[in-house]
Amino acid sequence: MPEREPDRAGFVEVNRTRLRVWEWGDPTAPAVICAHGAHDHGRMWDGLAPLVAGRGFRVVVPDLRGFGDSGHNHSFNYWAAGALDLALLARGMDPPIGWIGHSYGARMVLYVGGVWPELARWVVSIDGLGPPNSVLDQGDPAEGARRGLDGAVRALTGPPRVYDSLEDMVRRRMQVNSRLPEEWARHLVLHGSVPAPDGGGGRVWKADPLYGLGLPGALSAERHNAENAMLRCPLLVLTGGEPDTWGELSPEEKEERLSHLPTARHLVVPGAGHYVHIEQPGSVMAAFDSFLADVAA
Amino acid sequence: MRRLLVLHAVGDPHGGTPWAQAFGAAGWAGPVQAPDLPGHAGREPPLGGAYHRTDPALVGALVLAERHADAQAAPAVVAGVGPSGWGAQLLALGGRAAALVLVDGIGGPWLPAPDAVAAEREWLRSLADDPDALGPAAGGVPLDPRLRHAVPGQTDRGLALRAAGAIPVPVLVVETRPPDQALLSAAEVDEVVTAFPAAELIRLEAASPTEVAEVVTRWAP
Repeated sequence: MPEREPDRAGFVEVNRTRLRVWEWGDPTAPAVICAHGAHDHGRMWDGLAPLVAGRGFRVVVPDLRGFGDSGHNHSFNYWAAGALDLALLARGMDPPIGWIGHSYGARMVLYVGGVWPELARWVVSIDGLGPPNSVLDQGDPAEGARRGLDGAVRALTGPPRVYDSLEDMVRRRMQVNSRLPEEWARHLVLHGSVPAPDGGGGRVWKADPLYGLGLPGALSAERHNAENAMLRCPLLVLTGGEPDTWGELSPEEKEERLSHLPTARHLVVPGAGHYVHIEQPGSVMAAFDSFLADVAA
Repeated sequence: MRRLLVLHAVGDPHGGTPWAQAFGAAGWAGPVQAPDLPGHAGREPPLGGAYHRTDPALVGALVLAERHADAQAAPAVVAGVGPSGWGAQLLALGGRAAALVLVDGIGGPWLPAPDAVAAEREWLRSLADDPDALGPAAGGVPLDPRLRHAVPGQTDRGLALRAAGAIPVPVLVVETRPPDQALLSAAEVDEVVTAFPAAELIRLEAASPTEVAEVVTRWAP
């Protein structure tokens, strides 16, 4: 269940965009920034953030650039711009600070910690070892270019995709993320969508339609590993023990990815798929407590 | 009558105007579009204020989509200059070009992934430390101060070769940089040119846009 509404909410202007920021906990306590995954938004942390705040932290949760209430891009520069957003946000929080990320957000906080080591005291990565090599290696560049350009032109010149209702969006989300409890799917849809601008009673996602389109050249397994290998601070890697959508790495691929993260402590959480912290928050917090105790020592 | 779309070099404060004038002077027999890319020649930066090496392809795709309504228009010749060469290649890969012209636009220098990641790390750190690059995006200046930090280019040799091999249209590669300013050696340029199914290489050291435009106009299929 989503545990608790944010204690504070606002917007910050940073890096030429406006980020929606949610906060839990004592605003004078040491800061932790949580970064959500692709297709999600900051309210995905409504379960874990209050628990982390209860450990004596100020938990700061942005809607990442392109998601939720935050600004959109007329560029495919999501990765570097998003990382710079987070770095600038952290600079105002007496760094080094703690970082927790899920999926795409986990990859991003690893990257931030690698590019700006002075900003990261520790990092927790929740099912964020990245997509399988078959996805990273991209395939036919002509097909990728055609798909990306067609999608971008459609996104920037056409009407948004309208869903019949909130219930329709919940149903579709649960078809994609079949392990996601319905109450969570509903929570994510509720905070991730708005009534359609045509006034016809349907709903549209808040997320930037350009996100996720991309063009050939953005990713490769070699590049992914090189980015991860920059991280030098203590790292806790949590992965789910159950097969799930967006958690398709084979055991061999997980080991290979972990071999490029020299400071990682890896724990497989039984009874969880991709959304480890939503399915097994108690196990995640137990691992977090143990990790922080070791970091403090 | 062949349309021409020119994507000027990312970082060129003059924008597309010098290229439009050059092709006009060279007698290009058709409409010439050389849009100022966002953040250049007084044009507002893009929404979100950030840049990426693929953005010229996005601009070009939108320009070509507008022209698509003109049923009489023939498919465009797409030209990319300098760092915008990658955007032009993406348009050709995406089926939006009848022919492709790359003016110092192959890419490079070729870097192994760890070196490319290290270069982007330094680029990001330099952006983070430059208030002018982070401030509110403003139009009306020749060049967005953020672009003084350049934009990381296409430095993946393997991708360049795979992309070249998948571009089915005629390609003209024009190299104008003297060897001491070139991003790629002559042998590296030759390797990519050979990977295109149908490409021609012309070296015009230190040529002006007008000189380049004359050569392209004579070549255009």
